[in-house]
Amino acid sequence: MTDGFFVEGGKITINKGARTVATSDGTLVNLLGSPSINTTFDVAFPDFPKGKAYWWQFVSDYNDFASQYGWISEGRCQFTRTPQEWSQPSIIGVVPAGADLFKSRIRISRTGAPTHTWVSQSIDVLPKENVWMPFNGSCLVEAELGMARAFSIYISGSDLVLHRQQTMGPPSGGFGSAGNASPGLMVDTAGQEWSARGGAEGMSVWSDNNSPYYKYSSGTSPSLPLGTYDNHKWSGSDPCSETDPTNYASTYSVDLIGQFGRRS
Amino acid sequence: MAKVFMTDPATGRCALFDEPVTTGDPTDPNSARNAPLNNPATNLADVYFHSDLDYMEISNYDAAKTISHALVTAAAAPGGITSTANFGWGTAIADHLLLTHGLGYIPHALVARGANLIYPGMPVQTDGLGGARYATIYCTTTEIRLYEFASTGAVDLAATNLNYEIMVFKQPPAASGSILLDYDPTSKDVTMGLGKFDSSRRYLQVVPGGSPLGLSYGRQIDLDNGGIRFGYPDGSTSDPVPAISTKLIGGIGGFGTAMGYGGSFAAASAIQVQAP
Repeated sequence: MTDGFFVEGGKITINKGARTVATSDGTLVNLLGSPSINTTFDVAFPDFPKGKAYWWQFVSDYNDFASQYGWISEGRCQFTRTPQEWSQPSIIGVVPAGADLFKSRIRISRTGAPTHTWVSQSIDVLPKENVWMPFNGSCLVEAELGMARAFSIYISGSDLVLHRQQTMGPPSGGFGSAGNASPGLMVDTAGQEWSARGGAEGMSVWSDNNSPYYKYSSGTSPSLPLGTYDNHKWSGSDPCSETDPTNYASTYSVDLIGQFGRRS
Repeated sequence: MAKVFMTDPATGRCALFDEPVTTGDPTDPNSARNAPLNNPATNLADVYFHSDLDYMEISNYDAAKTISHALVTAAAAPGGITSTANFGWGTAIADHLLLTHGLGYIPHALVARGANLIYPGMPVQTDGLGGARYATIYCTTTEIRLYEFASTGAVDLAATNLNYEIMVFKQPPAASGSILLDYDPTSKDVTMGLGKFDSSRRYLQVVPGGSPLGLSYGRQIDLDNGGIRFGYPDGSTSDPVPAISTKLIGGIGGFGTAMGYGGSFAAASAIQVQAP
């Protein structure tokens, strides 16, 4: 290859060494010289749809030797998130006519974090925060068992689009009832129930082994313990709290510097 | 439309472009047919070269930087729930130096694993059981670094050595001197646009052939059913979240339906580029 500037074969070519530096066939990425966008914006993800998994059980056993009933009553309210596919595109910039490329870098910082652990794990920011990352396409920011969040930035027609997306997977199995805790059959009886409390079934993501989310009582009684069988049940005495303290919403502050361009 | 190479001494610009229209004086830099010369930003589709534009000049290049990635221990059982397999996220955080540059400012950089230029959190190693290693590139005023996190599955993710191709780009130079177009017969270098373009410099190339690297320009991640699909610029995809079901501890009956990606997302388009 001969070095220099050539007009031949219906095209213009600039060569150097083994390189074709530029041709009118297109070998360069044409980027607008100064940053087209230098901005900061929030990328917010809402909490997933909330649900409950309320467990209750009652066990009663008649002890012939002691001639009395022993009983246990337990309740636990765990909090779930129900299936969701959520996405939200929004326009964050205007694309110059003819541009089909966006070279950029981003810097992210989580400014609003989930309040609680998720399946006993903290929901960490997966990429590194507060550094400049070359950006082309998408970025996964959070993921734990059953959930994930990502955002993308791309050109769509004349718009520069921010696309937020999150997913929440299928519910846990295990809802339903078993055994028989009817007060009319109290001699030797055991029953339990996992209830979504009328809402959609979800995946259990947070629980606590202390009151008000978990309650336990036990005792003995010389007669049928009719007044204790529904202790800690949602419909009985001293139920567990069904107020969900968790909030898994997240917000990121994103700095974006980018140049629009086009393949030459 | 004619291809035109034109300079404008009044503005110090030079450009190679297609005439967008056929009206106007061909010799007038400000005529309609020569609009790309003095208005490149609104005529990008017709521009092959323009001295105002940034051509991503390479300042530092490493064709194969080897990074040693440590073993990632298999996932522990989740808390507060039972699952058909162990799986977790966010472990094995590591931070590696890829390259030291002397630019003194935060440059742009492209780093490739194989034929794919890395976007933040792109998988660079997967085991098919939930274990995967994800790379994020970041730049400082002195270094290009690789930050990794991992998802963990039923077995340890093996330690591995991976090669990365690194390109660091300079900011475009300021205009200097008074020469709009010059060919040096000794060096055989072509300079244009008051020194802003010089054929002796290495610019990112968009070319067929060679060893091109895919630079995506669209969405590369899709989420579905608690799972994730990663697209790669070469068109392939990866779904690292395994089909796992969960069950309430002490729950009645069996496990729930399995999570995991069930969509049909295809990787976004990409252009092929390479370091010259």
